[in-house]
Amino acid sequence: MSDPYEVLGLDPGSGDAEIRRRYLELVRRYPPDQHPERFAAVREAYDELRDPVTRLRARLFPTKTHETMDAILADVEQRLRTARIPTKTLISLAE
Amino acid sequence: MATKSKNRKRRRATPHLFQQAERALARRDFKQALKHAKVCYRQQPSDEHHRLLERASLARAEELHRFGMRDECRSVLQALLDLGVTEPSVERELPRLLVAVGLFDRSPVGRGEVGGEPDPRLLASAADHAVVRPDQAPASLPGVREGAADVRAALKALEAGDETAAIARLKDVGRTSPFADWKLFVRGLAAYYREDASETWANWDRLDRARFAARIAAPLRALADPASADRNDRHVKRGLGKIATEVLGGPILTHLYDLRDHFAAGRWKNVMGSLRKSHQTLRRLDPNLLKRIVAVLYETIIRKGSQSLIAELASVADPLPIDPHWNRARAMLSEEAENDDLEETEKHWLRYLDDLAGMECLAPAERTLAQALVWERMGRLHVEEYQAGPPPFRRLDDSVGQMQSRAFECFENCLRLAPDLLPAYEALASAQIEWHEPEQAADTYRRLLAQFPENLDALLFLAEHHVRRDEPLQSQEYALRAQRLKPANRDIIELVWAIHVGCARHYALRKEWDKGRAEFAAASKLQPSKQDAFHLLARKALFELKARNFDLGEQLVERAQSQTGERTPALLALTIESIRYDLSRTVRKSFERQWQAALKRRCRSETAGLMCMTTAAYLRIGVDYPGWSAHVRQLLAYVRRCSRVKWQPGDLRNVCDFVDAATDREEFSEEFELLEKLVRKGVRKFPEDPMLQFLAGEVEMGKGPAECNRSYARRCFQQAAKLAEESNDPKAAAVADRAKRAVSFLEDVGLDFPEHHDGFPPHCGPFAGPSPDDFDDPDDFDPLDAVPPGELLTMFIRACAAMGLDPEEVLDEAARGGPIPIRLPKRPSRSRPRKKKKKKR
Repeated sequence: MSDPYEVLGLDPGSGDAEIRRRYLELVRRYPPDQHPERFAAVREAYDELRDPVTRLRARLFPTKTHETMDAILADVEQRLRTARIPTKTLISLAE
Repeated sequence: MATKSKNRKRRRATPHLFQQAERALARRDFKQALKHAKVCYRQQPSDEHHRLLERASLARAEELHRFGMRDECRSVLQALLDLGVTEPSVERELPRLLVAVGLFDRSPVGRGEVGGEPDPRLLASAADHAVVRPDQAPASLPGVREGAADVRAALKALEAGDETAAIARLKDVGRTSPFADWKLFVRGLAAYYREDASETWANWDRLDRARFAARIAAPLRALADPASADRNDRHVKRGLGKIATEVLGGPILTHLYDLRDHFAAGRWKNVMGSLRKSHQTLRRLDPNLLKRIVAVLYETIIRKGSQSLIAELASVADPLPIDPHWNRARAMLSEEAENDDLEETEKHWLRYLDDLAGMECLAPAERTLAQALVWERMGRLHVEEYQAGPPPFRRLDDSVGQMQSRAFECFENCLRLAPDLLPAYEALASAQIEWHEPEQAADTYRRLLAQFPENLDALLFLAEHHVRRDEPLQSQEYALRAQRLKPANRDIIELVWAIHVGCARHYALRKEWDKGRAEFAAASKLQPSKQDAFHLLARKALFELKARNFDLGEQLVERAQSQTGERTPALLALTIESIRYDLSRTVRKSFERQWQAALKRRCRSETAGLMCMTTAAYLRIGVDYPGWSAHVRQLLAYVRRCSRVKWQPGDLRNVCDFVDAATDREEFSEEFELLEKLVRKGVRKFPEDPMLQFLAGEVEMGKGPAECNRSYARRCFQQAAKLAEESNDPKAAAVADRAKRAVSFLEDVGLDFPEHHDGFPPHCGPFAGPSPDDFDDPDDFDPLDAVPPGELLTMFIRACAAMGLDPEEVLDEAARGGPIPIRLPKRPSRSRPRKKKKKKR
């Protein structure tokens, strides 16, 4: 299962209002009739985060890890992937 | 003198030096070859030696170029150009190298001394090198400097995000141009930046692999499509490192790859080493990335349960904001440890509570809630600790009392901090039920209801709690609230109906007749189908007799008796309820005499079924009215007489249920054989009845670990589950569920160990102790002697725990020689303690 914070694109310390606002934003962007899978994922993530007690319990006593070393590396690579590489660096790759 | 003489000899030995140079060239020792060739040519500047020096210089220059020693390569080539090139093979290869080091203009071709068109490969190489080092681009090759400048300008435009300008800059580059490859590269790069994979590949797949553009594209391809790239390729790896250094600000990618690989392979020592190496850089460049890595390691180590690794991680990395002093990690590891020490665990959790008080990553309200959750966890740990041991030791161990009070204390601390934490109330109430403290559990549920007035579990618990205490008036409030929440729930309707009827009796005892009649009316309204049921009519009759409304009372008595084929079941209900309604001794005795007289008649299936159904209801709920024991005894005698009865399935089921309920009471436990007989008959006569099949399984289990035929029991449960699932009867659904749990319980326990070694589990044999051969008289040998005493006790306790038995009870039963009842694991919720025997009127 994906990290609910990741699915909603939030920081782990986000509060109730922020979670709700982001959820509504994503639901508007991915309505169930057009993006059923994405909507289901957003809904599931929101269900995990909507209750502050459940949310805090998961932070305090983590039972499952959403994060993996591969995911971290994939993120780093994604940052490299989207960055504009300076010409000097680019040309140095030839040598 | 001797040295000078030797040197002279060497100088004269030109042919030897020539051969040595050739040999050095052959073994690819170009440095030595060049040295020998130089001496050789200095001593004797012949054509042959000139050519040797040319070949050695070219080979050495190529080697230096390969090693990236550009300046050294240039000086070797300059010396070669000064020497002059005569050897055709050198003449052929030299321009390519001269282009690479920016000396092309000094070559004969560059100086225009050689006519004809330049080699296209040479032009391509010159173009590549000109893009990389425009200052050294050869002026002698037409268009190379301008082309290289265009390519660089296009790359700069892309860097600035201006794709149009970049493409426009190279639009005039033709297919045959040495810069055609660069044009493809720039187009591909533009597509890469806008994440258009198909166009990226369409351009980059056409690149010449031997040229610079393809080399630049290789690490970018690895980023865009990791699956397609060879990440172990040295060039790709180095390229990725360069990009990462530029984008992330430091050389951390290699460390991350190493860390990932060591982590995946479980090489923890190397993981810590990699983290130690990259920690400072990561902290400086990207603290959030470091935090994520530490979090992954932290959680993995906790799952792995390694105290030493967490200590090592603590020495290498900064703590997570949620666990600033690693106390949470220590507490969780201590919980998971095989020889877990609750005191140690609690010590760490208490420290963590202090950490939470000032935790910056939590809002102030969250800190309080977090502390409450930690207290709740500690409470649960104490309860689990209690549940972990086999039953007798729960009571024998002195620490149990402390454990219990500490658990309650933890839950109370939790609720003080978070009075609206529902799971804490539920856990506390569940623990109180477990510890046979129903009053405290009821109190907890009342507090829960104050916070959550619509909690169905609490309402039902309190309703049933007051029913068990014969307080229907108090019970009614909760039951009616539960009914408002679930108006169609059949179980709740049954409960409310029973409470109305119970309330009527209570009003009768208080001589509040109108209220009592209103309760009967409410019961009839709730379940109109039951208004003519013999047991309800019997209660109504007794109510009216109590109210001295004799005519109506007598009429209702008559109606109650006429509702069943025989009067006997109604007479039993009248007998029992006349006692509970506290009617006069004359009336009570009259009904009892009539019932006993009716009992002597010929046994009938329906009569037995109805009487058993009536009595089982009192037994199950724990209503021990005066004389209940005698009634049960007489009914059992009646059932025993029913050997030739033609049973109906429902009646036989009721009878079995009654005998089963009776055997739960200590004084009727000897009736187990009767139950077994009846159930066997039931299964034989009605093999399609799921409830009888289930009872057969339960009875088989009740024979105890030594005598139970578990295969047969499992078959019965499997059959019961199958039949119940196929049945339309709503009660059968519950049977299906219980039967499935029984099957899985039996499968967990195993089906064969009682048959081995006189009941010892197979893993305990072969016996390691004395054998029969060790004794003069084999009769002196006792198999128990072969098992060490400690192990024997452990085996016994384990076997009892696996069978759901109380070892103490087993020993008592064994001493009495009676059957050992096996209890299936009960459903966790709604379990309620049995009410203490109390005479109620």
